[in-house]
Amino acid sequence: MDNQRAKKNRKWVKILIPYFFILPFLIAYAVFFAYPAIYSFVLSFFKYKGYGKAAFVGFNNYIALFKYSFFWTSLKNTIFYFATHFIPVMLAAFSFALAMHSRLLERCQSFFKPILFMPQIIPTVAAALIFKIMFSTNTGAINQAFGINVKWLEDSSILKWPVVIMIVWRSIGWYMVIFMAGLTTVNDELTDAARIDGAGYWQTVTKITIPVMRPIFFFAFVTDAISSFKIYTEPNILLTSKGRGSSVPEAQPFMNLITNNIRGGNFGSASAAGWILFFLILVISLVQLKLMRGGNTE
Amino acid sequence: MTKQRIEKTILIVILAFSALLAVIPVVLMLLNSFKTASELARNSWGFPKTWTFENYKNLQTYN
Repeated sequence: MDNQRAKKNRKWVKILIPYFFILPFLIAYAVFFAYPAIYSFVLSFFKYKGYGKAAFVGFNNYIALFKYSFFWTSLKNTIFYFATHFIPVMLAAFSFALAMHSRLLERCQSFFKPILFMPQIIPTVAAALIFKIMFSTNTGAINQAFGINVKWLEDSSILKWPVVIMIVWRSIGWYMVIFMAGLTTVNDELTDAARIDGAGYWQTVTKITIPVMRPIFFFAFVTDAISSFKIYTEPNILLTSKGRGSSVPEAQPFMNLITNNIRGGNFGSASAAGWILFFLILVISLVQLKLMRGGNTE
Repeated sequence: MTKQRIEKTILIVILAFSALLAVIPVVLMLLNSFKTASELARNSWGFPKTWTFENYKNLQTYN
């Protein structure tokens, strides 16, 4: 009897030992990710001010958000920031990666690579502040350099574009590095064989390099979509002025909906907004997955 | 000039222009760190007229 029990115990120990080794991660994951995520999901169905008793309100937080006009403004702004920066960033990053990889630039690439990557190593807040100096109306570098007087950060019809310019400036280097890593996965034998068969440079790129790099494109597109739906720092620092005190509501991204609710003590609404954002990102990623898979003929 | 040389020159010109655009904000940040606040308002573009290291000195006592 005892022998059998000892055997059973040993089996359990064998199963549990690996979990023991990853215990530090598991604890951190449970405390700092799983618990807050579940807690915020539960909270999104309650009206809770941070103190006192939480009252269950069902889907009212979500319904109230959908009826709130700022919800749609901020959603529109987030999608605007995503849609406007996406194509220029990906095109430029891929072209730069191709240029760095080409045989034309032998030694020059070690000069251009770090310079094109540099915007990425500047902290976002510092970069936003320098862009604010560049785009401000009376004291701005751009207005002074060209002798013009455009209200870049005040005219509500154009104030989103400096933000887009800054996002493009910041992201190109990052995706260039990712695409450069992707280009090294393209087997030289494939491109050489195509060259021997008489394909030109652009034919090799469009018919071989791009199809082979499909997973890298998928990775880049999805990470870019995720990070741009969570955009917060750039528009808020760039568009905050001393006179206004906060950034303009017409240009605020979706994350402001969450921070405004937290600041107002509506933790339930903030959680609901957070979960709406989560589902938006999930849907965008799944749509991209579907599109990238759909075109795959191999 | 062969075709390859022309292609190389065009490529380098384009890259140099892009690199310039990438580097301008960073250089501007560096140059502006040597200007006083009142000079920054008047002259946020270009080299500082009088180089000041006050900003760096003030950082050490900043809290």
